[in-house]
This record gives sequence, C-alpha cells and structure tokens, in this order.
Amino acid sequence: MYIWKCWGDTRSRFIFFLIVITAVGVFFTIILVPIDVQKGSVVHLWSDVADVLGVFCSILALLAALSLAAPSIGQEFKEQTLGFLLTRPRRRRYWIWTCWAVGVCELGVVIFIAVVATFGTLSFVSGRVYTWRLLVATLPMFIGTVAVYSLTYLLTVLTRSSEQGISYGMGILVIDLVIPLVGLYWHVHLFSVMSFIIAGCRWAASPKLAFPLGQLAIYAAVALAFPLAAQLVLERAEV
Amino acid sequence: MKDMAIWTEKLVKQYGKLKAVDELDLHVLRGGIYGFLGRNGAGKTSTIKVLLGLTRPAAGEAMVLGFHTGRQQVAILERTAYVSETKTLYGALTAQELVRFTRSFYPNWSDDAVPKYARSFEIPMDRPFAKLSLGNRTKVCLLLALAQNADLLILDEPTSGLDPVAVDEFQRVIVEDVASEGRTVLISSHQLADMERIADWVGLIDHGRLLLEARLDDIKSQFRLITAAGAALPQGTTADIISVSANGDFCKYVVRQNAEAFAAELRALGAMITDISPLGLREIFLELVRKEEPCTSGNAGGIPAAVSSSF
Repeated sequence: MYIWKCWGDTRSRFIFFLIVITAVGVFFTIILVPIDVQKGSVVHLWSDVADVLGVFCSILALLAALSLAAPSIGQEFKEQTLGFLLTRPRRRRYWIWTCWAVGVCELGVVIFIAVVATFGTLSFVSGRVYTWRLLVATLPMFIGTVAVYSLTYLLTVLTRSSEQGISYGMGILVIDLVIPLVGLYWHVHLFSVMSFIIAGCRWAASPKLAFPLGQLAIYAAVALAFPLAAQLVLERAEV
Repeated sequence: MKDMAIWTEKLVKQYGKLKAVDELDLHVLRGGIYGFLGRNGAGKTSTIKVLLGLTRPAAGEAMVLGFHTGRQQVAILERTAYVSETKTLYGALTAQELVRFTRSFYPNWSDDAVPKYARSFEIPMDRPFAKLSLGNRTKVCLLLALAQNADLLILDEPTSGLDPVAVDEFQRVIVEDVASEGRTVLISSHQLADMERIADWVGLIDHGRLLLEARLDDIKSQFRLITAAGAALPQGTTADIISVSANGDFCKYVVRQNAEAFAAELRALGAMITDISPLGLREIFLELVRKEEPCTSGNAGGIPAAVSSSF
C-alpha cells in the first residue's frame, strides 16, 4: 500500500513529464524526417533523431528525475508523518527502497515510452524499420537519470525537505551540464551525466562508436549507492 | 518479566544536556489500563518514542511484549497500536483511504471494527484528513489503532481535542472492547480525572523520573495525607513516605500505607497531628510534582523499588 501512496504523490508529475518528453521526441522526429529524407541520408536521420533524444529528451528526463525524487519522501518530513510511517511494522529500509523504486519505475516508463514513441514515429514517417539497437539507447538515459534521481532523493532525506532536496539537486545538475562545456574548452574529457546519455544515444545511431559500458556501470553503482546512503541516514534518524 | 507488557530498566534519553528520561524503571503489567501521567515535558512522549524505536536511548534497557526495543522493533510494531501526540496523518487521504493504507500492514486487522468505531465516534470517513477538525483527526487515529487488534495500545494524549461525549465513548471502548479482552493499554495523559475513571495502574513521571507507580485501587485505599505540626520532624522519604513538604511549622506527609502507625510515630516525636485525609489521584499528583518549599531531595527512587517488589 505504500507503493500506492507514493504513486499517488507523484502521478501528476509522472503524467506531465510522460506527455512532454514523448511529445518533444515525436515532434522533433516529425520535423527532422522530411529534411533528412530530402538529403537522402539515412545516417543523418539516425544521428539527428539520436541527438534529439540525447539532448532535448534527456534534459527533460533529468528534470523529471529531480521532480519525481523529492515529493513522496519529502512529504513525510514536511507533514511530520514520518512518526506514523515508522511505527508501521516494517523495517526502515522498506520505506526508503519502496519509495525510491516507485520513482525509478516511473522514470523507466517515461524514458521507454519516449524512446519507443520517437523511434516508432521515425519508422512510420520514414518508411524504414529500425533495429532493437535503438532501444538500447534508453539504457544510458535511464541509468543517468536514475543517478540524478537518486542523488536528489538522498539530498531530500539529508535535508528533510523536498524543496531543499530539489534545490541542491538542481544546483548539482547545473554544474553537471557545465562540465562538458569546460571539457570542450580545455580539450579534456570530463565525466558528466549529459555527455554519458548523449554518448549512449549516438551509439544507437552509429554502430562504429563504442558503447559507454564503463560509465554505465559507474552510474549504475552511483544510482544504487545514493538510496543505500539514504537508508543508512533514515535508520539512524530520530523522529 | 513474562507478565509485563512493558518493562524498562534505568532507561535514559538525552537531548543534548537535557535528560528527558532519567533512569526510568517502568513496569506495565499485561492486560490492564496503565495511566502514564505527568506534566507537559515530563518525559512521557520521549519514553513512548523509545519504546516504539523512534529514538534510541542513551542508556538502559526496554522490553515491549517480551521483545527488545532496539533489536526487535518490527515484532513490537506488529503487536502494538500507537496514537501519537501530534495526530498527524496524510492530509490528502480520506479516513477511508487511511484505513485501506493501514490495514495492509496488520494481519490481525479487524474489518468489522472500522464501521463499528466510525459509527460510534461519528467519523466522516470520506473527507480528507487535513480538512477534519482536531477532534475528528484524533478519532481517526483512534479508529486506526483500535482496528489493528493489537496486543498493546500506546495512546499519547488520546483525548486531546475530543468533546466530552467522545471522551466518554473513548473510555467505554477502551474498557469494554480492549481491556476486557485482556489487551494492554498505556495511556499517556495529564487528564487525571479521565485516568482516575479507567486506569488500573498509574505511573507518575516528572523530569524524566518515575515518582510513583502503583495500582489505582491502592492509591485510593492506602494513600493518606498526614498534616503534622511540630519541630524536628522527619524530612526524608522512605518506602512508605512518598513525599514530605514543609510549610512553616507544618509538615505534610504523603504516606503509601500504615498511615496510623506513622502518625503514632510522629506523635511519639512530639508532633501534633492535625489531619489524616485520603488522597485522590489529583492530590497525589500535585503533592509529588509540587515544587514549593520542597524539603525532600525529590528522590522518590525508593518507591518504584517498593512497588516492583510486588511484581
């Protein structure tokens, strides 16, 4: 039943981002297909659509991650319902991981539907059928956004406030978006969630590129480490 | 210890330098109503939070229904219903939705109890919790606790915001539906008159220390206030003398038992006994927590020991 409660807390945001991200993916694909088909370049078509996903959709997905991470667990602190929750017969880690998992599932659904809708539109409009490889592009986007989601989730538990959790998460995300620009300026390769997601999408469009497997593993570990830290914080919290 | 629903030994809870609970030895027998009484800030809620695992004690041990509070928290929570002092639940959910939410955690949940108590407490089940009055919020919290069919109910200020009719109904339910089934109820309150009506046992706490723990019947039948005038009268407490307070030439003794024998001792010391009167819970409470001219060290540490010898 806690799943149901967490879903109720975030479903309006989930539906909003599901519609917006899917619409952006589909909209840009519909615009790009005639242009690239006129050029006669299938490679361009793949690449451009991958960029749409990698840049526009991933920024929106990261915002969705920020938005979905905080409300449910933050509400427990804000409305002082944590005392009620923690006197239900479950271990404290149950609450942390359940609430976290609901948001992760929502993010997964948002990203999967956005990618499927985008490439479905691409196939439909261009008249070409694309391979499963395109769907793998969802994986870096999903893991990257879950890492940001998990960070915001931890920050919300640490600050005991959804507003502060989102604010700090947004600050870190802005720094993360600036990192690739700094890397470009200094001609060095710096890690960032955005560049990781874009690399994943480009791999889907260009088989010659290497799949960012190492980064995928790192971000997956990070995405799991943050809720684990949140669990440790809550287990030691006094209510 | 098997016959104890709650047992603590030298329990300490500290917030910074403040000792909210100070070496508390609490003994709540199974199958009765225990009034946990004290002033605001006496340490009642802090004690309850330790019992439920919401906070950790700085020292001491606590067992609830035979389970250790630190190590077996889930086992305790499965068998314990709790109404918090703040009565805060999810504001957006209706009482009906809160019932649906809560019932999933308790295998012994009684579906029959929900409409029964909703009717008797007159709870609007379809209104969001945030839009309910304080009294109705309290009723919803009580409904959720009662429907759990728990072995132990811990109710922190359960009658706050309730009108007299609802208080009366609450007391009836606690006595007839809960205590009569052999379940244990610990009620934290400073509503002494209410407690005097329903409690079997009372524990009096002040500044985190247990001043008194006794059967309510014993208090009514044995406790006496002796007022004596004279010089060089005894000023200390013993197992039978609960408190001593001086006011000019007069000393007031709250005596647990053998009041006549103690009065005879005072007479032998040259004292003039002006009054020996029975005490109600309210008088006992005031005598114990009163701070004017205390001529005792305030240490009633011998009293719980005397009580615990009866277990």
